[in-house]
Formats: sequence, structure tokens, C-alpha cells
Amino acid sequence: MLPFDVTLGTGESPYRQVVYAATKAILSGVMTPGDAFPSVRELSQALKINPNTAQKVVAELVRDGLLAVHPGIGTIVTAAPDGGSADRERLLDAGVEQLVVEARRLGLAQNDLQHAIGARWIALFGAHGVAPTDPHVTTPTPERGRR
Amino acid sequence: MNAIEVQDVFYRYRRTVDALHGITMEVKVGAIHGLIGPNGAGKSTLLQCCAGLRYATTGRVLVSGHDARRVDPISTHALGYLSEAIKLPPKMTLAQVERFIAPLHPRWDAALAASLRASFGLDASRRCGSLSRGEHMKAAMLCALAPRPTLLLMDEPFTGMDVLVKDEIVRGLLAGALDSGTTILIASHDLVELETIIDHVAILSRGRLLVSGAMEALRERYRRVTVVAGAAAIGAPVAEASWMGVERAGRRLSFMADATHGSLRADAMQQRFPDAELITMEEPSLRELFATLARDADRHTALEKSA
Amino acid sequence: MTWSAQVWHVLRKDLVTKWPGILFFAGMLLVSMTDVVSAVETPWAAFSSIALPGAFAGIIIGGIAPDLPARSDVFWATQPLRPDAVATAKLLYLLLIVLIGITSTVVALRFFHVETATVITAVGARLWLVLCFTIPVAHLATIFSDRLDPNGGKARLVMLTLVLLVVVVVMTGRAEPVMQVIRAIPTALYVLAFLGGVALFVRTYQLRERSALVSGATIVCSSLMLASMLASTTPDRYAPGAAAAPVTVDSASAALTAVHDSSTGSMRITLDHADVEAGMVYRLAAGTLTMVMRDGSRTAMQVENRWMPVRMRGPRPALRIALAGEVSTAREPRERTVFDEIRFVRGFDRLRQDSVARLILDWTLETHQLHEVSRFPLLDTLPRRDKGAEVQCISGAAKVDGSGPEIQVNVRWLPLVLPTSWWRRTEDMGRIVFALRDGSSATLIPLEVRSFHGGKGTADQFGRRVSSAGYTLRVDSTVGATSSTDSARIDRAPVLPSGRRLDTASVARSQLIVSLPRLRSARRFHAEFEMPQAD
Repeated sequence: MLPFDVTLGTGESPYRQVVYAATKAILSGVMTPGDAFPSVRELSQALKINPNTAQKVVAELVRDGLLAVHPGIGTIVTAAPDGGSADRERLLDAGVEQLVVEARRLGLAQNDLQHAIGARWIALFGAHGVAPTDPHVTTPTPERGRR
Repeated sequence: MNAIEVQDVFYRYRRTVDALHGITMEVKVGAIHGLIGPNGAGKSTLLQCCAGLRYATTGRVLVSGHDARRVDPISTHALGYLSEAIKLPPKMTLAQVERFIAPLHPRWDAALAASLRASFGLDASRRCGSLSRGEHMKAAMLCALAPRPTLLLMDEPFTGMDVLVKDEIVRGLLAGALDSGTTILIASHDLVELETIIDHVAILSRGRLLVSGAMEALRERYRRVTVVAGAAAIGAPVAEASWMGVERAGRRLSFMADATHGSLRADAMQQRFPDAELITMEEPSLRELFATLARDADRHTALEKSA
Repeated sequence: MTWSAQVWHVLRKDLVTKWPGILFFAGMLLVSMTDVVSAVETPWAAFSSIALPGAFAGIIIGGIAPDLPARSDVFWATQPLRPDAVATAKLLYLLLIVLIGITSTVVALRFFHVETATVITAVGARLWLVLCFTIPVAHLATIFSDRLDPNGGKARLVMLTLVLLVVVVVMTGRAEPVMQVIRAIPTALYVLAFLGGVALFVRTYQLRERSALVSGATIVCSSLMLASMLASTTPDRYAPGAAAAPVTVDSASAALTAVHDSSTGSMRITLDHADVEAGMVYRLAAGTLTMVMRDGSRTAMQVENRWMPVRMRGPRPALRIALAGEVSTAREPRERTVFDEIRFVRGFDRLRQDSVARLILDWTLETHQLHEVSRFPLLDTLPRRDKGAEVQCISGAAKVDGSGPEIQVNVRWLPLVLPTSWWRRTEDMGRIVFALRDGSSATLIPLEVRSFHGGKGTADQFGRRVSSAGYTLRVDSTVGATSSTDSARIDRAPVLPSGRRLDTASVARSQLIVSLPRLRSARRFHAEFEMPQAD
């Protein structure tokens, strides 16, 4: 059992999928600074990926500044760097692309899309909703029960 | 030095049938290398040539720099071989088998054997003949992993195994790769299991090597491109004869693009299909890659034959 | 692991996993001895003689075939075992099976008062034959089949038993021309083929694949191996007219005496052989008497084969054979005349008519050495049953003819103890010599014996049993399933060298020694006699 969610699908390299999921988990606060990150062995066993791949994942996350290796203790989640918003936006890339492509297919203009996004945001979180800078908001799936 | 080097190997049955036709590839040390191909592609034969169980008709197979043809290559190379056809001696119990083979391997790890036995859930006092198919494969795997081999050859370890057993097998071999730095060459049909664990792949079809290389590189090299023609067009865009995996329906054209034959960049694509309404490019899954390459190879063989 | 450690390692594995089959084989050997115990020929005898080699072969093939590296799915091929070490371990395994077989048989036969030395040789030879037969069969089977079904152990056993059945049936007497051809091939070639077969057997373990060349060569060598051990069982039988072995008997003189003896109507020829050895037994064989008539015609008559024990007369042992014969009263002499030591038969007209000009006598003297095969204690106690040797000693009880006690010994023989080969007809087995040994004395007292004929012949029940004061010893002997009877009697209480007579006390100390003669040498002799003119 890993402390973050990841389901490996085909069509994209497992390495990138795991990096994405781990980054998302760290940035969205599922894993807080100071938490222990799974070892290469644990990653490999839980996800059934090549240990080399797991090694690369950890190396990439360390390079990105999201993890730090402490000799004798293990790999620890570090505090999210200040430039977090750029990373987060990067995470959204794929989703944004999908949304944009879909909108275009449907024949919508950019304005329409932005309008739709704004409306949906208010509907879900309210006009006074939680500030977007609060890193501890999690986004559960179908939010209906939140009233 | 590579773990395995296959140099222009031919394996000929009965003078007319080539099980292997001019295979040249290498397996890097520490890699988990997948060997995939349709039935009869020659995967088993290639693995057996690497294990020294068969001798190539021409060409050389080098394992850790030594010729695989030597009388007992296994003793010098710490080579583990696992095949669905291997039968542990049916009258011996697993414990007896372990007791017998342990002294033969200088690096036999009894602790590893015990932990594998526990995690595989094997009863060492049962005769090997009475084990179920899955248990038997796990037992054979234990015997192959416990000596901490430097090279592990696996021939269809997943065939006929249920999901739970497959999980255990994969976890077992991944642990082995991690702990011992074992190089693994694994031939299988089960692309779903393979895709996440391998970092290199070789695709065989009808005795010929279609492609061999790192998974990352392959993912970079191929893209499935889908082009939707503009509203003004009649039908889908025209495909070139050399493209692979071409599908056309309505106004959509889909094909597998090879980076070596043309750039995969968005702008290059747009230049190629100026009237397209939508162009999407996706990384193919291993399954799709294999299917497309294999079918394409067959198509070429058919064309050559009719020419 | 060192080479020798690997050999022991594999051997131990084979023994540990195959012990039920080996135990079964050893048990079968013991069971197959029951044909000795029971007087009636049981089905066991026939069964064991066929099933036993099948069981033997089964454990051999079961031990060898699964571990052959020339099959790509075999587990052991992927273990770091040196192929030549595995091959050596297999050969040792085979040898061990043979030894276990010998031990088992010896243990069983200890109950039958059979001399171990003889038995070991015979049993060893028998098992070795089956071994030689099985190696090529196992080899051939593995060459032709890529996968020997591991569950096919029973199938293998049945198949091999059937094959052996066919071979045995074919070889028992119906394949004489084939056997002659086989015997004609020189021994050296067989030895080479055998060694070659073993070498190929080892080589197979070093090769991962079977090439046509190896297969072909193995088939040829295996066939020669098969043939070699069939031929090598030829006992050193002397065939009349064949070249003789080294001579140990020299200088024979023959004298024609008492021709035209009108009172007895007989002719007597005396043959004197000097330089004979006391412990040996001699046999007159292939004697032919040719009568050359005055008109030039020739008539040949055969002399019956006779056994002649050496008698100590005077300072040196000598052999005197007296042939006396008769010619029938018919006009023409009979083709076959019995020259009998003892009998004198009357009447021959031809000789009286002076028609015989010359007599030519050709004979062969065989030298046989006695090998002690068995000894039975003679106990002066209540009837006691030894397995295989029924010794009943009636002492003081129902006496025969009112004279001394009668000892009756019933001996059953195992065919393998006698020098016949397994699948051959029981031929003329020569004779069994009985003697008494008094206590610790080394002197043997030979009993009067008669030769007996095995197989088709019936024993002569000739002779009366004359008992007088003292002991009558009667020995009845039967041979395996093809039984015939022999009698050894002592009519009078033998005088022991110390001058004592055989009595109850000395019988208690005595042993009945049974010996078999074995051919050592043979020599042909030739003599011609001019017939004296009639007066």
C-alpha cells in the first residue's frame, strides 16, 4: 500500500505516470513534508515496476526538490518549494490539453471555455470558497455530498 | 560487456525451417529485458540457445563474454533458466530438491529461499508432482532465484497462471533484480504484466528480430497519429504505402509514425496534413506497438513473396 | 563442488529417490528363490525369470532416462552439474544395482547351503548380462524419444518385459543359425564395442543435442554390445573334434586284449593313461571304434561317454579304462554299440568269422576339475528340514533291510549354480560328485555315483541297493524345474582313513560334499590294432 494513489495505465511510460502521481500527491498535500517516501523496493513491489524505473522516479523527484535523501533515515518528503504553483500548473497540463481539445471539437471558443470553467468552480466551491493558495484542499470525486 | 550478446544467429531445423533467422541483439547487464512475439516466433529457441540447451546452427551467443555452447555453461555463469516446460522431479519434495541443488551453487542464499518459500506460500514437504501448475512455477522460480544468478532466463512464466500467482511471480523476480542486480530476459505473451516491469524489449516475429531497444527509446520513437480531415475533405487523408498500422474510417486516418522516417513534432505533422481539423499523437502501449510491428512485418513478407 | 563430490551427490540423490524400486528388485530376487523351496514347479519360477529382468531394467531406465541432458525440458540440465560427473554417477548406480542383486541372492542362497564363491560368480554373471542388455536399450530408448513421459515408468517396465520375453523366446533354441553367426565374431570386437558403447553413453551426457552421427554410432555399438554379451555366455564347452586345450594328460597306451574270447563272446580293450592327477575326474568322450573288415569295408561304432574317477592304485594315480563290447547276433553289426565297463554280452558272429582285419579306436579324454558347490551337514538327530536340503536321518529307527540306518538327502539345485546359461537348453550337465567329509578331516570319501542327464534324459534307475552292516546313504538330486534323479549310494560303510568305520558319531560330524566337474582340458587319442588271425 502506497501513501499516494497511482494506477498504471498503458500508453505512457510508467516512469512518467509515477512521477506525476507522486508529484501530485506531494503538491496537493496528501503527503506532507517529513513523511517518509516509499523506498525503491516498496515502489517496485507495490506497483510492479522495474526497480530501475523506481530508482529513476526517486531521482527525478529528488531533482525536482520534492524529496530529500537522508543517509540512515531514508527518503523524506521535503517542504514544497515556493515556486509551487508552476509545478502544479505543469501537473494540470495533460488535463488542460484534453479539455481544450475537447472544447474545440465541440466547436466552442476560448471564451466559452473560460466561462464554463469559472461557472463550474463557483458551483463546486462557492464564490467565497476556499482560497486557492490553501494547499490543503483535496479534490474528492463527485462532490455532491458536501452540502 | 553485455550480459548476453547474440551475433547473427541462425537456428535451422531440418534444413528448410529457420526457427531463428539472423538475430543480432544484446542484453545489458542489470536490465529487465522483455522478449515478445507471436507463437512460433522463436522466443523459446532463442532463450534455449542463450541457456546452452540448444546450439545455434550458425552465429554466436555470448553470455557474460563466454560462448554459450560450452559443455556446462551454467556452472560458470550462474545462470538461471525457467520454462513452463521444466518439470521438477515429481517424486522428490521441494525440500529434497532444495537440499540437492543448494550445494551445487556457490551463492545459494538459504535465507532468500526461505523467504521466497514463505511469500510464495509453498509447502516444502509436498512432492513436486503433486503441486498445482501455479505452485510448480513458483517452486521452479524459487530454485532459479535462490542461487542468486547473475542472469535469469524466463520462458513464458505467466502462461496459464491466475492473477494472484502472476503477481507473486512478478514481485519475486523484481525483488531478485533489486537484491542481486540480476539481469533478466523474459519471454512472454502477457504484455500487460510485462509492460510495467521491463526496461528493454525485443520483438520477434517468424524468427526475425523486428526491433530491439530500451522501452523509453521506443516510446520516443513511435506515435499513434490520428488525423481527422477537415469538413471540406471527402474521406480521410491518403496514407503512404510505407506507413504502419494504417486505419481509415470516415474522415479519420490513423497510423503508427516512426520517428526515424520523419519527425514526430507537432509542426511537422501539421505541415504534412495542412487540411486536417485535428491531429492527435499518442504514445502506443506495448501491446499496440507489438501488434502493429508484427502485422507490418507479415505484410512485408507477403509482399516480398508475391513480388 | 569438486568432481567427485558431484558424483557422490548425484548418486546419493538417485539412491534416496529410487530406493523403493531397488527394494522391490531385491525382494523379487528373494522371492524368485521359492522355486527351490517347493517341490512342485510353481508359477513363480517362470514369472520371476522374466519379470525379474524387467524389474531390473525398470529401475535402471528409471534411474537414467529422466536425467539425460539431451532433452531441453529436463530440470537437471539447467543445474550446474558436470555431465561427465552425472554419467559416472549413473554408471556407479548401475554397478551398485548389480551388487545389491548379488548380495540379495547370496543372502537368499545361504539358506540353501550353496558355496558363496560359486554363487557370486554365477549370479554376478547373470546380473551383468541383464545390465549389458539394459544399457543399450536405455540408450536406444533415449535416442529415439525426446520426451520419456515421467509417468511412463510402468509403461517402460511392461514394454521392456515384453521385449525381453521376445528375446528369450527367440534365443531359447530357435535361433541357432543366428547364434552361430554371433559366435563367429571375434571376442576382441565385442570388447571394443562394449567399451565404445559405454563411452558413447558417457558422451551423451556431455552433448546437449543428439546429432545423427552420435545416434547412428550409438545404435551400432549398442547392437554389438547386445550381441557381445549373448555370445560371451558360451561356456568353454569342448566340442568333439575342436582344438584341444592345453594338455595335462600324456601318454596313453592301448592294448587289445581278450579278443575272440569264446566263453564270453566279447572283446576287451584296455586303455591306460598315466600322469593323471588324483583330484581330477576324467571323462571318456567321443569315442569311436572303427572295424576294418577283411574285405575292405568299414564299420564305425560309437563308444558311450563315460566318467572315470581316478583310483589310487599303487604309488601313482592311474586311469585304466576297460572297454568291453559286443557285436550283435545280427548279420550286420549294429551302428551303435555300448561299450560297457561292466557288462559282458555274448555272441558276435563276425568276429568269430575272422572278418575283422583291424580295429581303429579314436577317443578323447577330458580332464575335469571338481569344484565344491555345496555341503550339507549330516546330523544324527530327528528329521530336520533345511530349506532346499531335506535331511532325514533315521537312526536306530526303521532300518532298511535290517541293516544300518539310512540317510536320505534331497537336494534341489538352482539352475544358475550349474554352468548353463540362462536361456539355453539344459544340456548334458555332466555329473555331480558326492563325497563325505568326516568332521574336520580334509579327506573326501567319494561315493559311487552315476552320471545323470538333465532335460530330456531319464536317469537310469539301474542297480540294486545293497546294504549291509553299516550305513546306507542315498542321495537324490533334482535340478530345478527340469528334474531328474540321481542316486549316490554307499553300499557298505566306508572305511575312513583312520581305520574307523562310519558310525553314528562320525556321521554327526560329517558333511556331504557336492561337487561339480568343470572342463579343464581335453586330448584326442588314436590307436590301431591288428586283429590276430584266427586259428
